[in-house]
Amino acid sequence: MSTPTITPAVELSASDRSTAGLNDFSDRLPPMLVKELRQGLRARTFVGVFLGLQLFLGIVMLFATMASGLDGAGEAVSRIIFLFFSLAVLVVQPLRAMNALHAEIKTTTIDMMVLTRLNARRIVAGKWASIVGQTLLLFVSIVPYLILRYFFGGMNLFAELLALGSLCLLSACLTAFNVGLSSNSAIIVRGILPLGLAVSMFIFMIFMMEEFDEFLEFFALEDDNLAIFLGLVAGALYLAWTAFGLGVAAIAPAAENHSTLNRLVTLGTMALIGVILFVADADADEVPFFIGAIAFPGLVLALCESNFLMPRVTLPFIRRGALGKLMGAFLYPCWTSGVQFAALLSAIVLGIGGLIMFTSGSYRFGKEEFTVLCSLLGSALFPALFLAFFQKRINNRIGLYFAILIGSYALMLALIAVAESTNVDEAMWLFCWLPPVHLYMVDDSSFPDEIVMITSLIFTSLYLGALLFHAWANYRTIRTAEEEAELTYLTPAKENQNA
Amino acid sequence: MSQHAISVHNLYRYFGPLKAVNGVSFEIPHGSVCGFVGANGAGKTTTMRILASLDYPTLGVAEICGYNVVSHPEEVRRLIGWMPDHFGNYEHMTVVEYLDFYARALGFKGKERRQRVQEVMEFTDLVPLAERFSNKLSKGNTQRLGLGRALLQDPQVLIMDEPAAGLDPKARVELKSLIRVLANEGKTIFISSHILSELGEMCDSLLFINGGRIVHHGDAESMKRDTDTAGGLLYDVQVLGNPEDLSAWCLLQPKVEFMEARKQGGRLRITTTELGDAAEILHRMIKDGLKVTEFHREERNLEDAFIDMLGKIDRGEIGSGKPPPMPELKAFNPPSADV
Repeated sequence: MSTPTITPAVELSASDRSTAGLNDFSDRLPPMLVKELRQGLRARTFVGVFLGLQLFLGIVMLFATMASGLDGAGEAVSRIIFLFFSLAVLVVQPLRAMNALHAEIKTTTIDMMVLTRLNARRIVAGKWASIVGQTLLLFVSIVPYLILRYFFGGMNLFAELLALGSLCLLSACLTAFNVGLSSNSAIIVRGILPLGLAVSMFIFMIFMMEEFDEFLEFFALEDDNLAIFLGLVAGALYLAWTAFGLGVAAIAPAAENHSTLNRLVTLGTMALIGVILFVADADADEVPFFIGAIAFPGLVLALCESNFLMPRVTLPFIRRGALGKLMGAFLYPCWTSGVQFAALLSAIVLGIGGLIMFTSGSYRFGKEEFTVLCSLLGSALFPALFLAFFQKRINNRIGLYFAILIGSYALMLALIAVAESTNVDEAMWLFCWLPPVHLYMVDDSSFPDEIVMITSLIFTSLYLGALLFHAWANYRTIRTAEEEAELTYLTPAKENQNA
Repeated sequence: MSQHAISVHNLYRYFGPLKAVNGVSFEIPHGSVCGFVGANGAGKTTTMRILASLDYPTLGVAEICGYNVVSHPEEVRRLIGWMPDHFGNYEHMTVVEYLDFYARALGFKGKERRQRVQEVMEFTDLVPLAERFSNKLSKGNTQRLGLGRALLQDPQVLIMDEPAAGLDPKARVELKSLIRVLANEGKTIFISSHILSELGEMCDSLLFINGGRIVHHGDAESMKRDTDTAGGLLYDVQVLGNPEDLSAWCLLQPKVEFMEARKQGGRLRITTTELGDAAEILHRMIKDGLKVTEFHREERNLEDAFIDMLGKIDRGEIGSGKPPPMPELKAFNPPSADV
């Protein structure tokens, strides 16, 4: 019998050994995703949530198996699966994104990242994708429990799977929202808004548990629910994209223009939602509010631009001549065009509202609804006045914007409390310059609807006019950038061609 | 290829009323090592961040190998390696994973990526620490990791902001030898440091910045020479008994200036170049009862030049002229950090 030949193992050097494990992720995966997964999968939060979920669901299954003969055991299991899964993916996972970009900015590691070939969008996308990847891992990990639950009977498999998938999608949107906001240094933006979202998700979960049958029924997508479902998906994706854009803009160099795409996406989504509402034969009175809700994030981002424009950014526009420059006036990433874009959005929203009010004859979209629309729009424009007139002293424009926005609503609540306790409603006229106050006035029968509507329209127009006046006074920023771009990039090219 | 690796013309960076960089101009040729000297808050880090395309100038032009850092940041970023004075490391990420992430982010793939990480780890002597978490390293090892990261794409220009800050003497010597190797490889190195003696040893030229303005640009010898307005020779004097007697004695003597106190005496400047005068002073010391145990001549070093330079600035002898007036801002008016 021949003895087998043993090939001696080639001994790797210490240096080779140290890099031997670097093939754990393919080269095809984005670097940010690889980094975030390496870190995230070792993070205590993820490990805790993952093991906790398995433990709870394991125990629940054990008890459910013991009680499998009882009526409603299957539905009870479904409820518990949904409860723990939604707690993990709607509350815990999105909150993990709360500090994602700020931590990088604070420790200056973002500087090192932007010096690589990763652009701002890839950095933000990597942060988001890693948390969403972990959320999907949680989803995959509960599939065996769903299969077990199927054997308890009474399960609408399609509806439950679609519902869980939608929870994952919502989680991805919330994560995108929080990742985007996490770039801001203001705790009101980076901390309070995500926490507010987490609380509202918790309330949504309680509502979901109470109305569990109706919740699942919706995902069976019968009747008109498909259009509503698609509308909700489009809206959620758009909101996530916008917040995402906030993070991208915060870390991108000035030579990168992300605002134009964000604004085009806003206009596109408004059109898409309009089409979906038309196809779904939605009530006409809902349309201005849906369109307004889509316009709001785009309007905020446009109004928070700084008065700064890199000549290089104007190139794609000025190459298209006068039409390009006209488009640039609304789409350049700077304050002046931001205000003009905000004016365009306001005109669309108010125009649709006015058109429906005057032409449809719908008694459900009357003066009151139009006043609410004006007031909400005015509330969105009001904080921008502070940004306009104190812009040289402001470092964190988005933080200040939200602080004033929240402050104006807090002031309105305080005024209402005083007015209600003293029964001096008329005093509210003293604060009619504060747009949120119109929401109270329109709801109170002691104020004539028509006068409140005209007041609201006047103040909203006044604020918009003031912003436009300020923007046009600063139009020099755009003109100079365009001139410098023409001189620097276009004129030498023409001269070379002629030569 | 541009004639200069780094070229800065009339660079301004204002943060509100603070003029961090106030009309700075200089050029650094390819393959040279330039030290950037200045007190804290003089504008070193701001200038370096602008050169690394991490900040925008309020006005002016900064170029790396002919590429404008504002209008062509992508090209600039491919040419530079940036090592800040302080940077955070990631949790739950080992040293090798840290370098691997940056290698991936720089576009290295497969075998080339692993090889590059390996080379950098060998160069910076990080191989034994490969599996350590990057946020658990000592300051010296963290700086080596930072240097390794900066070297991953084999940059032409290395910008290092206070790389030796907070390092113990051993780590400083190691870092210095690494920088020397890189300089020998022909890389352009722009380095700021507070350890002036080390800068003098390794730099071809020194830039002195104060109040956002360049007040001196030349080699170490010219800096020593230009600042030595007081003239004279420096002596280290050790005495027995109370060392304060020496400073008190100096106050009464012509041509003698007490520079700094030392453990058993002090450092004197004798404001004459005549060796006979020094002998006369030593004679007078002994005659006046000072128990001199040591009296020897010292070379002027860069620290002396630095202190002299600050003194000259305080006295308005240099750097007191007005900076070139900043032209009116046009479109290029950068925002303050929004994050």
